Amino acid sequence: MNTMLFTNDRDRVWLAVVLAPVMLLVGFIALAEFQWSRKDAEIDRKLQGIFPAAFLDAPYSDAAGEALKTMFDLKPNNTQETLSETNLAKINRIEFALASFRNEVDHLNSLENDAVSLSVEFDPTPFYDDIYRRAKTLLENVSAADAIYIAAAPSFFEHWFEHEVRQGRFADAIDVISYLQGPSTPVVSVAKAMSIPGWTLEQIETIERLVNHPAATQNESIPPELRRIETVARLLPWFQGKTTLLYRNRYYQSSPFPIAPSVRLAVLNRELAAAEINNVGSVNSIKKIRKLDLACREAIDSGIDTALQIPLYKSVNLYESAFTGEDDFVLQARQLSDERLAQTAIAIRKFELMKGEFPARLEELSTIGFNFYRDQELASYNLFYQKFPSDQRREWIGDDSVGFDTELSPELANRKGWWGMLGGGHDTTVYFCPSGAAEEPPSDQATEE
Amino acid sequence: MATQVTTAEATIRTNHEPSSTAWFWWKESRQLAPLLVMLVAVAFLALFFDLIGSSLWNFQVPHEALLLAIPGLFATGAGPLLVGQERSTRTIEWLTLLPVSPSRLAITKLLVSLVGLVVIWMFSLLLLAVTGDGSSKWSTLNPNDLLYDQQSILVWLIHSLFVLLVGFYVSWRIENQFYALLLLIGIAFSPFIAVSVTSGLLSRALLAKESGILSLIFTAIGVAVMFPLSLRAAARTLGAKPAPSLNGFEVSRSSVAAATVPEFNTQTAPVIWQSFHSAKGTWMVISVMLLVGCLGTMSTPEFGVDILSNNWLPLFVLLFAVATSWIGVCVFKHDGAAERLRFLADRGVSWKRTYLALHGFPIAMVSTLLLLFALFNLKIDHFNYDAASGMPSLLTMMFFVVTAYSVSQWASQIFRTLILSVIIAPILAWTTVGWLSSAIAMCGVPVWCVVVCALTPMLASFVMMKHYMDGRDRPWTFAVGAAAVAIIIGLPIFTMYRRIQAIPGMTPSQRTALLNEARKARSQNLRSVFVALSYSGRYSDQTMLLNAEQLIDSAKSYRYEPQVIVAPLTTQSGEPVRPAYCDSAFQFWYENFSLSQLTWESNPETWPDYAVFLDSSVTLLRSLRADHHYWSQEYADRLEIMLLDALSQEAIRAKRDSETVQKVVRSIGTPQSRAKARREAVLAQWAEAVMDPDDPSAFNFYGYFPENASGLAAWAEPRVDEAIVLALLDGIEAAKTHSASTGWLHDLHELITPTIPFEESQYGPAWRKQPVLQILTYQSRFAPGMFMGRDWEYVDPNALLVNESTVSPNADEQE
Repeated sequence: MNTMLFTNDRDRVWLAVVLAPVMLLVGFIALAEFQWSRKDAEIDRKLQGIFPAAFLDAPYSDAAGEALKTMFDLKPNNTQETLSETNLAKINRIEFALASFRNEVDHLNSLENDAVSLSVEFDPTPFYDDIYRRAKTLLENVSAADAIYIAAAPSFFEHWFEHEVRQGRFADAIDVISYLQGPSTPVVSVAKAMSIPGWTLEQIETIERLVNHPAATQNESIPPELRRIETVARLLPWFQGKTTLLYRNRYYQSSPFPIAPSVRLAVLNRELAAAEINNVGSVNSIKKIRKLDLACREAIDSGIDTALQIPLYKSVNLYESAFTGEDDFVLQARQLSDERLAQTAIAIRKFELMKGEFPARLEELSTIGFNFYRDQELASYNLFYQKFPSDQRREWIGDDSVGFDTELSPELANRKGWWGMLGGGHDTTVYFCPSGAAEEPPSDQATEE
Repeated sequence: MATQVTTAEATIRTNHEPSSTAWFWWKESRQLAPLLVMLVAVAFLALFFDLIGSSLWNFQVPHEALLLAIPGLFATGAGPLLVGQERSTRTIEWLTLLPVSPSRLAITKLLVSLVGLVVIWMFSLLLLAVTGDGSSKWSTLNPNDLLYDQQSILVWLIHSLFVLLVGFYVSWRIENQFYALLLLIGIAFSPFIAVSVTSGLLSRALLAKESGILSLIFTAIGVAVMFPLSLRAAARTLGAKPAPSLNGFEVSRSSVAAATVPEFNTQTAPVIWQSFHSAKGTWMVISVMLLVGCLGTMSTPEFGVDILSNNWLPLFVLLFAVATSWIGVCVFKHDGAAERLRFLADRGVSWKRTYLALHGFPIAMVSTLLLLFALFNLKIDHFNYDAASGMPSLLTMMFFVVTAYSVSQWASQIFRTLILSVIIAPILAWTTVGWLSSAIAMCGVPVWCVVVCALTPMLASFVMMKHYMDGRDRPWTFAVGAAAVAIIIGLPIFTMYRRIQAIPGMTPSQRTALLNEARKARSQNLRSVFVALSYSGRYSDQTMLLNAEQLIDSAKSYRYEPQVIVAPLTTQSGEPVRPAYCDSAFQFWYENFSLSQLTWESNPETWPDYAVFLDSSVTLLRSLRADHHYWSQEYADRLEIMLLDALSQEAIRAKRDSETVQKVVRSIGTPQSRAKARREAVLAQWAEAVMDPDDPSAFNFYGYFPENASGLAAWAEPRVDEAIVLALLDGIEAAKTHSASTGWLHDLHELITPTIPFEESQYGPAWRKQPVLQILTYQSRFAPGMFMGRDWEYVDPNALLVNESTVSPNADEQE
């Protein structure tokens, strides 16, 4: 029997008043569930387009590993995989031995800080000399081929390098640099080291070779397929919805409940798009990743299926280290700009050694073969350079120390001639002390860039 | 003559006015008793949940706020109950006909409620004295707390009296009980508003003491004002009323009113219409409360951060919570609801249809609320660091609202009076929400269980609907209610119990046998010595450095001296080995050992230094193996690996006949000796935890327990520990026999590292293929038993010294 036949308008109105909100709510939930299924399927399709089936089913199985290697002709990029067991053990021992030196260095650093607090004189130089002498003895037995695999704390070598430069032992300082390769090179320390005169041209050219490596095109040298794999493979179970990441939230540290596919799909799209960005570290790359970030947030917020998450709408922190973020690009930009600073500082000192004085402008560095404008777009921090006469040193530098935060010797601090100032990178300024005493320059002739 | 008649009449009237109103006292006491009993029950219920909260989750309710709020609730409800009940049962007119003066009636009601207030105050204070102040964070009674205020208890007392008088006043003045209650809440805050105004006039914040004194003064003034006002209101209500005058306008108005009664064709729609129409004002008030609560909460930037850091946020949330609960109360408790239901029952209207119809409008309101919430969340950015980042999802909000609604509508069916429902329902509803939320968030209760518990009150009210309509729901409603409470509390507890029982612990016989074995092993053990594997040197406490000489001295003396570290372990020949346990600074030992080893290999003249290190390592190894802390065995494994690696180097073969190297060879254990030491250590440490569970240094293998079930950790830990012990014993046995079984690895993975896939865990094949030397000092991926059963255990140290093609301890399971 059709009940509606027995209703009048008033009945229908009140029934509608009561039923409509309930039906709308149920409809909303049904729509959210539908979107959940649909986006889950979309994620699966996307992943199937990237990874072989064996990898998707069991990413940690041997078959998956073989399938990946075959598909992308992967070679082990972990350097330690190429070493024999014996060499690996030897490298481990060396790393641990160096770590023991680091403990001693850390202790001396703390004593130096105590000396400042107590306002007492404390010269740690003999102790540092002893530590680094023993470290050098240890490393003398390490072949150059093995040395590149040592992953001991770069900060230990950086501190060692700075110590040798302070003591004026430039040759030893170059030996220390040679233990570090690529991104571990302490480029800021190298840049500051150029402020101190006494280098020979040969030494400068050696450092130039050690520091000068191609700009950050590492991203481009990796095939796009591989880049996508690297960024997504390690998070595969999360994208598939098989696991939940811990997310930092004041009320809930972890959730055993599934994360909505809108969230996973938005992050997946962001990761894939981020892997396509070239020239990582350039201003444009940072702009692009910011746009991707915004688009990702909008996609997540507009996802209806997030209503079905438990317990919160926000289920993931986009700034987790697991995900590619702006910080990664900014860090790369800083690294590149520091490298550029170091390369420029080396070129300036080299120019002075070859031509007898610092350049008036950075463009003059091209006369010694240094292209200042190379890779400029890659670093977002601009460099600036100026020359100023020695009698304006106090005005330009002030009473602050120069070089490695230690006082220059009075002889160097009062050296006459033209000084140089190179600024930029990530908040670093290098003041170049002239190599030899010169005539007193005119007092009001500072050269500006 | 007239005088005599007057005197006789006065005598007759005087003789007829009862000298005692004891029967009235009894009547009023009976009327007030349910409120008293319910509040006592609420107090015990709150303490019960406090007990659960503190034992499960180390969360305590501030007893003072809880127990001193009970008299406040009584004071709020007493007047509306005693007067409002008369109105709803139409007994006001009967009271006016009694040969008792209105003032005496009013004063009797007041006195009865006053006695009730005293009783509830005594109860609360007694309970507070017995249970302590719970969380002292909020305490105004604890002299050590910042909120301590000597006048606070007096202010509470006087304020409750003030609220009681206001309750009577508004109830006598206003017919609608709901509006009366709202007005009461508003006036109740007036003394504190006056204090704030005073502070504003003085243009400065008041000290706690000043605020307390002013509160006391304003409240006392309030009492003095409200007392005569309430009596006057009572007199007006109970006194003779002027006869109503009929005029044409009123007649026509009533006719018009009669003519506009809507007509319906169905039985359901009019019930829906009636439930809305009869309480339009109530729905309006609830809607405003919801609107203010929601908008206020959304606009507060600190939402989701620290709810107490914002003064207004608790108020907005409270408004929303109470309004949601009152939606449920309005199902069975709008004006005239009982009579209407009786009317429908007498006319044979289906009770099921009535039930659905009564829920129609409230559920529509709840659905609208949730829908608006869902649509609102489509528009906001959940990644800003403000309110939106902590926004509960639609499902979560639905759970909160539906549970509160479900319990509230059930409470409104159980309690006869509106006032009781309005006061008690929000407390019961949100206590239930809190209980179920905690159950799912901290005790791992499954979603289906929580949903069943949330809907149980709906089922209970549905089951009782027929009897309720017939007015014959007592005493069955209490039986059904008890069953519902049993389900809401018992079902989650049952699932928690099942969850804990599902952990594979020991059987009783296993436990007994292993404990006996542990006791026997412990009885043979000497007292352990603690060894710190850190750098030695003077001025290890750098706060003692005061001058340059001391700095230099500290620099010179900062050395790693293994012989100094193990000095307490040295024994004479024939003496038993001294057991030792160490700190977690093993990486210092290995770093300096490596340095010593490499230094000697490049400069053979440094052999004496290296020999000291080898010798000290042997001493340390023996003492760690003899110790009954399990972690000592783990460090002993690492030391053996380190020494085996040293023996495998070609350079040491030249020294193979030296006493030092022979000592090293003899110190290397066999699979059998290691198994014995490990087994004793595992059992001894576990037994210590069983016998002294409060000892923080006892057995702790950091067995994993999911964070959403962390509330059960206290109960689950013993079973998890037992399961880990069994798995470790299996692993020890497998290592001893060089078995290829991996069941114990899977078991340990499930118990300790289940959050990552087995293939990636420290027990998985990939990790176990890594050279042991490479992972020797890894702290962050430390997992018990990760070195057990690997190939280093089966290396013959003598063979390392003599055999050219040796098996390095680093070589391991290869493909």
